[in-house]
Amino acid sequence: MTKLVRVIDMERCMGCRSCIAVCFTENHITPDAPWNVMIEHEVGQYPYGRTVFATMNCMHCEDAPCMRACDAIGVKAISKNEFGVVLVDYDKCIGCQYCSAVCPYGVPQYNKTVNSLYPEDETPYESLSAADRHPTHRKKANVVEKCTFCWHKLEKAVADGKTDRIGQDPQYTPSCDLVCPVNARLFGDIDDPHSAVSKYIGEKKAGQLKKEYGTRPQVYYVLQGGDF
Amino acid sequence: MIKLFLTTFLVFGLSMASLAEQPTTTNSAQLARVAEQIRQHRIDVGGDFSMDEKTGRFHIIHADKMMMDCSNCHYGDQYRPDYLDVSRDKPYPDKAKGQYVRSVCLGCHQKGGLATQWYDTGTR
Repeated sequence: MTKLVRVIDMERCMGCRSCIAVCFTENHITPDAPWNVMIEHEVGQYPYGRTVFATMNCMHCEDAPCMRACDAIGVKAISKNEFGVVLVDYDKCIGCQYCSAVCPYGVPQYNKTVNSLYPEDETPYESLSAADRHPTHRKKANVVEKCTFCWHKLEKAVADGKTDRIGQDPQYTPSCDLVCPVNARLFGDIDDPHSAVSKYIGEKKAGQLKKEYGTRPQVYYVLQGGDF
Repeated sequence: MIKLFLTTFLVFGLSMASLAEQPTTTNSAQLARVAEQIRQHRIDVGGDFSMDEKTGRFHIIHADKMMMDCSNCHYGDQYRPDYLDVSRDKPYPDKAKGQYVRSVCLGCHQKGGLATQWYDTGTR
């Protein structure tokens, strides 16, 4: 059994936003619906104040309330696959935003219009046709989007029979976890006790956010400055 | 004439007071019954799943049928200084009455609550 998780070490994160920039290019992000966002806040008081940086993407909860809400109204656009990745089917989504309302982390983002990230025309990268894109990158207006753990890469690992290389081989690892200059992000299989993520979670006592909701997120944080 | 005016004023005042008390006298058992009837489609809450409009199911269920006041969920027209959420990076919606505190949802939507369970369902 493979259960993919991410660890974000807030003690190491310096707020450079490389992970966000690479997510925007990797996943054809539009301004309305960012998949990865930096939250920064100050803790402590002068002269001991400091800024805490936290990147927020989908938590891919084991008990995902977004999926429950979507199923409850009969839309069933959100699914969770065998690797624990929660995905939105844009063709089924009706844009009701119930998933956004119930997500404790405010993750699902409503894409009202599909605009370019730049004030001028679309870049060649943005103007790729839907047929040339992975299904998770086929942008549509009036649907909800969110982080997919770079499913287009994980899917490739599954197809190549190399799920053991997820988190190690760049082509099978989410882009945000590759570019961190201070190694504040790790990705891999938590069910493998020898994986880097398993060891890191154990050693650094990484935990999940907002546990009171009982959603059991698959993103772990080495917290600095408390839960947020 | 003054007596008539005072009597009318008193009767009107009492009737208004009784109307105002109506939501507070509704207990959770009654609300649970309403919630169950909504789930069983015995109460019509419409088929519009929009969140933006007050005519949508979401607000009909919460505001009209469950009699929740706007201020139960929404606060002000600005983000709180300590509001930490992904959505804070988006422009503030023009029509919104204010951001809502998600922990409010926990009261009813968790295990043992009267609403449909979204949180802490305990499934593995």
